[in-house]
Amino acid sequence: MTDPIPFHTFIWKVASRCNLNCSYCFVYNLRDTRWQDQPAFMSQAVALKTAQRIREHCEAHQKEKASIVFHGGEPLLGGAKHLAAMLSAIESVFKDSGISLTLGMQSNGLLFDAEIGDLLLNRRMSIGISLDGPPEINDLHRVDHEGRPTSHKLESKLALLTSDQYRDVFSGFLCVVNPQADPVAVTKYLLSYQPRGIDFLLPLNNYDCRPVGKESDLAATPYADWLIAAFDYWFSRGVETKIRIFNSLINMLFEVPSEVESLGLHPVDLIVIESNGELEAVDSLKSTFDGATKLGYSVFENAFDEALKHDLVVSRHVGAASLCLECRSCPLLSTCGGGYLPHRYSSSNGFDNPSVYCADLQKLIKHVHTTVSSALNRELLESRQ
Amino acid sequence: MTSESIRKLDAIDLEKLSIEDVKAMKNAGLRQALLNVLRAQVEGNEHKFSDHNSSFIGDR
Repeated sequence: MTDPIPFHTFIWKVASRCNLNCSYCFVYNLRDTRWQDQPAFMSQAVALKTAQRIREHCEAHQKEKASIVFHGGEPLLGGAKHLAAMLSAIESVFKDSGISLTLGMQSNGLLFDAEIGDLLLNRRMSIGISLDGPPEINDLHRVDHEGRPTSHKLESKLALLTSDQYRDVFSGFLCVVNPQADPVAVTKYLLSYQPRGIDFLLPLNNYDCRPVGKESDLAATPYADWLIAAFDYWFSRGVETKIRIFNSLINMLFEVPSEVESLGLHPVDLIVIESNGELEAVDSLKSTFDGATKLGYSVFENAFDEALKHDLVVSRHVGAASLCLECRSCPLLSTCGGGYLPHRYSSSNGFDNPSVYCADLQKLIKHVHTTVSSALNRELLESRQ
Repeated sequence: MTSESIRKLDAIDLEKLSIEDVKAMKNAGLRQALLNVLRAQVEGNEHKFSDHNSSFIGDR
């Protein structure tokens, strides 16, 4: 048996509450209810112990680099003071360690201000923003606890974040696909902020809770159709902004690994630390059933090496061996990788299914690969003439 | 899938293309995509395999 692959990315749930109440949120509005038992904010003691465990893990595996991502809930909910306390805990543990850390966070952006921007600049921490498109689309799901729209306020925050002063800390957008929205309008809107990157996410549905537009027919492909239109627009423009799902599919055409855990067969080397210090394999499994993410470990009791041996973690290190027979015999296996783990779930069969988006993934992969292959063939032919 | 479509999904060998070849390509979308592939090939993946699906921190 080969040695386990050490963790590289550590997702810190620095806040387990949120100022938004997005209808599709896997933390609060799908299957899992464990957020209610979590402290609202990660304490200094949890942060310090987590940082110590990460350093211990890096040193045990001779790792010179690692990533820490602040997540939630909303990681800015505690304001600049809480953010600074979390970062100070990391700095106190890693100073003089020789380990290079990449620091980032995923936020809804509504609490961003100059004080936080200065802190991020000073501590070299990037921030990704969740945004589903122009206001009329974004406000369908991304609302506050009174059901009010949030886009108008977010647009003013984005004006500050993308100003010359703070643009360096702005990493890009995460956008959940809404098949009822215009894909080109959404893509144009996101690109108008000139982000370094974007990713389009498939909603966290599964066989028990089927995606919108696929309720009665899993062979329907509204998500592929949406993504193909977005891809064609993006590819025809040749913009510098990366779109992670598309770049990953293109990478794999050239046998370069996917950039994201939801595609391909490469090991998933990330782990989640809850606000009370408990470890989770991946937080999005909260969309499947109550307690799905629970590993039974805590930074106070367990080293990360112990989590490396947990079945749920091992299953994401072994590539095709953890997939269902149908996926293992599919010619697109190495690119698709069975799709994203939460999308494979059914209460009758666990995760031993193809993705509920299987038909969409097949159509999208073929389109991207055919488009890129054809374009490359044309370039090569013209260069020979 | 047809054999033709499977063939089109086979991995393409980029080794014969230099970065100058790619930069000279007329198709801007293809050019940007291949520059990203070449960058990823050069940088390798010795430290990191996969991004968290629900985060975008842009460290690649």
